[in-house]
Order: sequence, then structure tokens, then C-alpha cells
Amino acid sequence: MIVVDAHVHMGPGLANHAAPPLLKAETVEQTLEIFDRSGIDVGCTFAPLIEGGDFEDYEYERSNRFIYDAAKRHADRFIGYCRVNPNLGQQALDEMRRCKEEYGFRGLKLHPDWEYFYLNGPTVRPILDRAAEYGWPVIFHTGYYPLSQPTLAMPLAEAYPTINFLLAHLSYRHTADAIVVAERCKNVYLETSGNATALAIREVLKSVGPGQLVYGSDLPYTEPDDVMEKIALQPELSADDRALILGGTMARLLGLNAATRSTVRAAAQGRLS
Amino acid sequence: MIDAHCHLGPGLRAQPPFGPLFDSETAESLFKLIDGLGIERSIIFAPSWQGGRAGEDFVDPSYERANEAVAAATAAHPDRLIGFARVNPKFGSGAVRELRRCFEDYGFRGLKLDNEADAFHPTDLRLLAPLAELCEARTAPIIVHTGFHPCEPLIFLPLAQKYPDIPVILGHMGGRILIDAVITAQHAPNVFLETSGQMPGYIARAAKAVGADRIIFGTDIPFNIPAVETKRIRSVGLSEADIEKITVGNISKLLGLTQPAMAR
Repeated sequence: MIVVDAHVHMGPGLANHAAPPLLKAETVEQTLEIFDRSGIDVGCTFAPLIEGGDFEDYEYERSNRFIYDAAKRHADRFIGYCRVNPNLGQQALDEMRRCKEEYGFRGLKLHPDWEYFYLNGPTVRPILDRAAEYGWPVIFHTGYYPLSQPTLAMPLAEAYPTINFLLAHLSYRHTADAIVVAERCKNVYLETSGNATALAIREVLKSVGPGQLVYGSDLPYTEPDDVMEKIALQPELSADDRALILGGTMARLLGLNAATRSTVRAAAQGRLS
Repeated sequence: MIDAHCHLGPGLRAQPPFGPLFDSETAESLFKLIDGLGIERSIIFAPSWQGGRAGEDFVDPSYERANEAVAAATAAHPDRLIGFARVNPKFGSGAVRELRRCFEDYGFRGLKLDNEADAFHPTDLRLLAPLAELCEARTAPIIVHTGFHPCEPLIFLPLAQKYPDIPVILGHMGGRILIDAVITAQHAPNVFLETSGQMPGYIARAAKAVGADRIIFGTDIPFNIPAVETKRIRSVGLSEADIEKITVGNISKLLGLTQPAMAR
């Protein structure tokens, strides 16, 4: 079994948050330590949102660079994802190109609420054209009206059938809508991070099935063990389906080979079975 | 004009303090309220049951007394009032029995559901199937309350897609979450958007996005000001032909209405 965390934040932006995240994972080493003790083999890793103040990196250039450095040193642990603000237009496209060509990144993170764009708005279209060209999966923060409710992902998923979309956080209390979208769009995957409840995860399992549900933690804002166990301890979940959710599906989407696991991680994963 | 969203009955007396603005408990009080506004026919149904009140003892979670009051009004004024049933799907076979009574004994023409008030999951089609099948047999419309969670528009799409012959009318066209109502309508041709309480600019946007054929006028009397609702439809830059569809034509077609509203 490979455990892939579909939603990991890392980088200098974390140190500048007004309210510090739950876990301290500003450095690569701190993050790896959490990966190891929680049994995470690989993390889809991207910058946290930029809160401003002393760390001004609204183009995410320094943040993306940080992810690149980490992924270069630990290619077996970090899958670098690009983060951009679609409202920056050409600048965002240029940063995407750098992330693809120079950094070898393999996915894209977008946050409608934070950057202030409608999830299916006009500024996101050129970004998705590019993501389709690069073959990147796209993970969207999803949640509430007016910018990020999952309903808005339906027309996008239909317009970009080759892109695999991840809707993060099971769309908060809008899981019912996310389910409606995922049932109709096979290129939509629902991701468990943050405050997704065990019941919401159950609901997705029952209606959409395990093939479109992927584990993500939103590390370091939440405790990965908490999220992982809400999946692993679901009643009547087969070992195969659990393995799909915890990493099998993401490994397929990203074309990952089975990672070499350390004994520490293997032991940590033992608690899930 | 035909008002596709109007509440009537004793439940209005037992509403919370921020309840109705006006009295539309009886047909007579409703007619007084809409006098001179050009509303020739009203689709009436019970308000949400919100508990009994001291001295009132209005305990009617199954909407039986409420539907009875609506039936009395439609029987007395068949030329002006059209009844829709109100049931709580959670009552299971009781809800089915009540809906059948409404259709067969009372001559009601549609069903109103409100999952915010009656707390059920609209995507739970197993729960809704027996009710939907009764509606399907008559191609009777279902009008639902929509807005923010827990009654956001998209969760009514599975119902609309599973029963393409049932017109599903999204009450308030999703309110502030209009875009979700539009996307829902774009995915099912039997979804219609109802105008009550909606902002003028949003009504114009909705008509542009899904076409005037899919917009239906409603007031939500007595929770809105009737004259404001009727005036708004004429103030958002729609053509006379589109206004005619929205206020009369579309709902008449769905219900197979002819006289007198269509004879203008």
C-alpha cells in the first residue's frame, strides 16, 4: 500500500500566518517527520496561501521555488504542485511554465476564496487550458458561495474532460452538492482534508464509491492521523478500497510507482490495517 | 398573471415572530391583499409547519389540517385558486397517503417540498420516489424551497433528472446562490426558476442564462410584499413577450390551464 497525501502545504508563507497552523511544518524536515510518524509516503505539496504582511509573495514565486527545492532533495517524498493566482493573468501563466519546465511540477492548486475568483470564472480558463496542456491534476479549494461552492466545478469538469479535478475538503457542508457533481463527472475526485466529517466520507463512499474519493490532510492545518483514521476506520470498507483512497487512486492519477517505504512509515501504516 | 408561490391556511398564525408580513390565512384575506395587482390566479399551499403556539394548539407536522384548509379555499374559488399539496416526506407512507388524498380528493395540481423546514435530504431518492411517482403519473410539478445550505439548488438535480416528466420549480431561484440554480437548470430541461424574493438584477440574469421559457413568476405571499413582487417583473428590462411567458404562459403550459388566465 502506498499512502499519498493529496493536500499538503509547506513553505515560508506558513510562518507568516496570523494564527499559527496546528502543526509546525515550516521546514522540509518538520514535514518529513510528520510524514514518517503518520505513514505518509508521498505528499502532493504546494504553497500555503499568502496572508500578506512581511512575506509578500502574491505571485507565489518564492513559495513555488521553496517547493521545488524540497522536491529536488526528496523526490521520493514530495510531488511538487504549482500554486498561482489566476487573476494575475500572464504572470500566472509564466509562473506555471516555470513550474512545469524548470521545476518539473506535476499538479496545480487553486484557491477561489483566497485569490478572489469564481471557481468557474473567466480568469481561471486560461490557467486550465494550460493545466490541460501539461496534463496536471487540479486541486481546488471548495466550500461556499459565492466563489467556491462545488456546483461551479460541474461546468468546468465538463469543459475540461482531460483534467482530473480534486474538490478539497469534501466542499465543507456542501458535500451533497459535491456528490452530485462527482456522480456526473468521472474526472472529479472528492478530497477528504480539513473538517470533512466521518459521516460525509461515508456518504461519498456509499453514493459515489471509493474510486473518486482521495485522502488529503491539509497538513499542517490539520492532523493527518485524524483524517486518515476517519477513512481507515470506516465500517465495512474493504482493504482494497481503503488502499485506493489512501493513495492508490492518486498514484494512478500521477503515474507514481510504488514508493520505497522506510520501516518507520511501514510501522506507522500498520495502525491503519 | 398567475402567482405560482402563495401560502394560505391556519399555519400562518403559528409562525415565529419574524413570520408573515400580511394575513393570507383565508381566500378572502388573500384576495384583499392582491386586489388590483393583476393576479388572476394563485397557486396556494400551506406554509411550513413551525410548531404549535400557546393557545393555538396547531400541531400539524403531517400538514393534514393545512392541506384541508387549502382545499376548502380552492373548492370555494376554483376559478381563482389552484391547490398544491404540502407533505413531509419523512412521514413515509403517511406522506404518500396525504399526497394521494390531495390529488384525488382535493384536486390539487402539484406538490410543495421544503427540506429546510421539514429536514429531509433531497438527494435521498428512495425517500422521495413514492411521492415523485404520484406526481409523475399526473405530470404534476414539484416546487421546492431553495437557497443556501441545506436547500442549495444542485441537490435537487438528481430528482429532476430521475423524473424528467416532473417539472421541478426551484422556489426563489436559489436566492443569492442563483448561479447554482442556473447550472442546475442547464443540466435538466424540466427545471424551472421561480422569481419570488429574488433581486431584480438576478431575475434578468437568470432569464438571459436559461431563457424566459424557464422562469416562473411567484410572490411568496404573505412573506413578501405583493406589489413589490408584481412590479419587479416589469422593471428588469424583459420584453412584453417574455413577461407574458414568465407571469402566465409557462405555468399555464405546465398545468394545462386555459381559462380565464390565458384569455387575455
